[in-house]
Amino acid sequence: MRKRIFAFALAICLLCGTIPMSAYAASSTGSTTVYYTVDSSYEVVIPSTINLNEEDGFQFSATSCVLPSGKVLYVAVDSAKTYTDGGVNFHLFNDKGTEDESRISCLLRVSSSEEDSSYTDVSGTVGASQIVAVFGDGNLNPILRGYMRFALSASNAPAGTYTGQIYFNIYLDDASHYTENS
Amino acid sequence: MDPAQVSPEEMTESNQAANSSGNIIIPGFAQLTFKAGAKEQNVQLYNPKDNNCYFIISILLADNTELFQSELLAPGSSLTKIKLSKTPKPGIYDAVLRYSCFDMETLKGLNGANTKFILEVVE
Repeated sequence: MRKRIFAFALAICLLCGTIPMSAYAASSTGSTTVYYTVDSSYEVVIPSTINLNEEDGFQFSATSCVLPSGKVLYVAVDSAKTYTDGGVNFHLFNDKGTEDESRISCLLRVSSSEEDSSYTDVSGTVGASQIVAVFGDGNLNPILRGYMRFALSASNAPAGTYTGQIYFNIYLDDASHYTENS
Repeated sequence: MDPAQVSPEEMTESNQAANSSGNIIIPGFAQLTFKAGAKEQNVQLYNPKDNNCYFIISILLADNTELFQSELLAPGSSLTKIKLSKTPKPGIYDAVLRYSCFDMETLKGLNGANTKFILEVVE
């Protein structure tokens, strides 16, 4: 009889011992979500001024370029603010806004690099793509286009210093939207 | 318009860096978030220290509604709080950060840029 009582008590003890173990095992499967948000931002380098007596173009670059997935960064000429008379032509002016105002025509062209002799006209053609550079995520150099050059028509222009301003639109869009003819 | 305050050391450093480049660094963001109904907003807008020009930074909606325009901002200085002239209703908007750039000696306009971004206005 004592053996039966002892066996029963032992069984109870063993049973009680397993319950907290099971509970402990269940709570050990909890998880913690670790997250960190990387904000998309970029810094694009545009020309402040270009002296066409000394250089014929400008190479676009970026100092940082963290983009959302599936997006690329476009740099395009803001035609509405850059071109003269709401048209497609870019001009440099001397004595702008005075009676002595004179201007010379300047074509904007784009190629992949300074060494690349082939180019696409950006100004001077109706419907031309205004994109001058395209950057991919993490790229500090353009993945498409990237070098803007200038072609002056300065024959018979009066002597003087001619200046003009170029404005750029910088925006994100789907990578799939870009084609060389867009 | 008074240029934003920067230390002489910082100004000299930035001038030297940018004089050698003749470039303007334009910062951009995919998205900014504003609180609905609040004129004062926390932002992180800046003129990179390596620039050699002043910025005037404007925030506009796609329909050209101007929400904010800064004073002249010197290289190396930033705006962390701005006061909006208008507060848009909660929603998601196409918006533009317009960087107008000016020569630091003559204040003549230089080339400039618009960076497009998503403005989210939350309750």
